Amino acid sequence: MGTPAQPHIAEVGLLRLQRSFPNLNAGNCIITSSPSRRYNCIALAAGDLTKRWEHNPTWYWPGARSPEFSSLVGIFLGLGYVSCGDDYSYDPAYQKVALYSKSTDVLAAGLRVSVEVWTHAAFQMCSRYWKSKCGDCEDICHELHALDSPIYGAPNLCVKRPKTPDRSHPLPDCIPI
Amino acid sequence: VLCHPKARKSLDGPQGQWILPRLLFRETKDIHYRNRKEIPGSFVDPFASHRRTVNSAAKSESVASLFERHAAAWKNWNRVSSITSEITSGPDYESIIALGAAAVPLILRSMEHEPDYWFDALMELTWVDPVEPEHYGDIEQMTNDWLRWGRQHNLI
Repeated sequence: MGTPAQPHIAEVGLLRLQRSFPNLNAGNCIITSSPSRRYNCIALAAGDLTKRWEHNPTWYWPGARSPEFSSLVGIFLGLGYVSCGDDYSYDPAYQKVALYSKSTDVLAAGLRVSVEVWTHAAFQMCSRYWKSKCGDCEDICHELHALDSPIYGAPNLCVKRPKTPDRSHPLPDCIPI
Repeated sequence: VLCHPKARKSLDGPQGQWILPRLLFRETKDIHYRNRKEIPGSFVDPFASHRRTVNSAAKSESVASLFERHAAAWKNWNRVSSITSEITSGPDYESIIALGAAAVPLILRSMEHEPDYWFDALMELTWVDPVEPEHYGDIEQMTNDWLRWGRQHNLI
């Protein structure tokens, strides 16, 4: 996690994010760090702030390298999560991660086919806020659908696992609001 | 470890119109890749003539200034995608790759100052991947591996 964001930097960061995520605003989003390239949203949701997790070659991906949404689901199942469908409600006994996807066309054997690809993951902080890392930008806490956009699509699946002392996560349970 | 260029960017990114010509170019590179008998010990650019054609419109501008211009434009992108291949699929990044072998030392020098997602371009230009597998995902370690390779080949 980057260093805490300064107020004026946070304003700039929000403006930059709003260019891509028009639903974001000061009422549903809080900038919580400085920008960083060290990790991405999947790494953040998995609790690893040391590397980028993505399916492309040369990046870290502890599973079958594929852009398809099922590949991302497999990563989190491998981390001990189970699917809870579209139940994004807050349960203090569980860590929950929202997995985002969008439908896109890809070239396969010369033909364009539509597939569901993963785009993003957000980690549940409390009943209202989820924590995200948007590309190279800052960490943010946001409401679940504030990032819905052509870039990220929308939350497709929620996964959860019980909170246990041996599954420590570098993020606090909640943020001051 | 050789990269496999064709496997890298099949998705339509925000600059999707650049993907198809790039894939066609990679088809040609794949043929070359399959016909290779061994990995060269020194850095070569097997598509130098093709790149010269691509760059015919930019002959009047030096490679260094072209690199600076396109790199600055690329870094100015709003990088909100979680997937680096979408960040590296824009016209400015492609233009840097089209500069050919001459861009490699410029990229490496840029990486000395600021680690960034230059790995795709370097692999496309050099056909090698000097990053240790255990460093995959760690942008600083990956950068260090590439800088070490550059020094070994007297590119920086």
